Amino acid sequence: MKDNIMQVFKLFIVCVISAAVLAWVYGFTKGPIEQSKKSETLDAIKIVVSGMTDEMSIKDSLIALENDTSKIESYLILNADSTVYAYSIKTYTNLGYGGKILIMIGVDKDFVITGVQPLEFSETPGLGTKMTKDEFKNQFRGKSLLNFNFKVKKDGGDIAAITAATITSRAVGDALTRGLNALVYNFKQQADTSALDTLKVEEAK
Amino acid sequence: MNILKKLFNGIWTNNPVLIVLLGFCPTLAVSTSLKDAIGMGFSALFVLIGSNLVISALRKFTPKKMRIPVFVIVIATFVTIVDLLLYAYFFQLHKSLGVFIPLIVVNCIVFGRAEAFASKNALWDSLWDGIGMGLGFTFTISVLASIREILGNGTIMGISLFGQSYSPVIIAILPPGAFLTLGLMLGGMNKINMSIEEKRKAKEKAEKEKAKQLKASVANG
Repeated sequence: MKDNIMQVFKLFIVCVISAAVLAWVYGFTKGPIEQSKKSETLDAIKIVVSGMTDEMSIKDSLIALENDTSKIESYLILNADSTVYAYSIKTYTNLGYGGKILIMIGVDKDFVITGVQPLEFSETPGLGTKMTKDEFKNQFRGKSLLNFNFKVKKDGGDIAAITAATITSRAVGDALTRGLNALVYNFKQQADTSALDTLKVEEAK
Repeated sequence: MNILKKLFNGIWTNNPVLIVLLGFCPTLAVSTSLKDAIGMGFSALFVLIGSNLVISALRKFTPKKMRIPVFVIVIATFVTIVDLLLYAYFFQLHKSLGVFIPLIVVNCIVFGRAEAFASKNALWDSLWDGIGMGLGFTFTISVLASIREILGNGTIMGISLFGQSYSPVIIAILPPGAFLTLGLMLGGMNKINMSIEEKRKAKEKAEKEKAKQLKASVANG
């Protein structure tokens, strides 16, 4: 009986010491972890939105999808006079060959893509991971929902798929469509009535 | 001498992967690039040293019946520390190793050394045992990853080796490639050890014969 209590007590001591050590390590790594998470997002935004300057500020907001309850992180890049310079969104798809893919998209204020950057994925190395290469990514530059069909050519769309990685290419198309739709749905009306107006003027000519 | 012997024991004679056949899961999974493999190897090395030291220090304190839970707690603590440290200071590496860092907890090498060595030996010996075994694991996974990265991607440490014209042997970087390469490495290791053994035996035989002849000549003379 006494032995049993002793055993439990010893195990308890080991647990308490472990917990204390972990708490200490957690304490001093917490800051750097937050920092690297933040700077990762910031770096990704800088890649996809070209021509950012120091005066601009970045606001983040969670936006809803049109017909979905989940929320996506999006970022408004504002000029010094707080007019919108560009948008960025961390969009996702679940259709990747290895499951979920997270992609950062940058669009200018007319929702035309300025850059895409895959962030997290578990695609096949050497095949699906080619989506991080410029040859694939750059085909989306200057494209928007209006002038580009985000499906692979095999499915009747415009995306030039990666050789031997059609599933990944298709998934990227899905992610981009989701992201662009979310941005247009959330920001079009409030921010860009002016853009709509200019369009009408041009038609009148 | 003793230390060198211990290190050699971990890296070659009792290599945890190629001879003892432990820790296949991370070896197969995290060997698609040399960079990840080295990161994985050193993470496991750190955990091994830490857990070996603490378990050896606690070997008289730990009740025999409670040793498994104590080992698990100690190992899990070190793994969590590695996880947090990598997350904070080596963010990219942490991202590419992903779930395999927490999985060091169930790496049989760590547990095997705790049970078989650290819980029975003094602090100093356990330290060098941990270093030797950790280096053995790092060495094996690095060799495997180098082969796979060079063949399957045409790169080493992310640096292109053969230029654009090289069309990679994709199977090397896919899961089957890991099994094939590891199998060949196991075979190669056995082959080398067998030929060493044969040479040793041949030498022994020759010496025996020499001694016999000497004896015979002495008797005749």
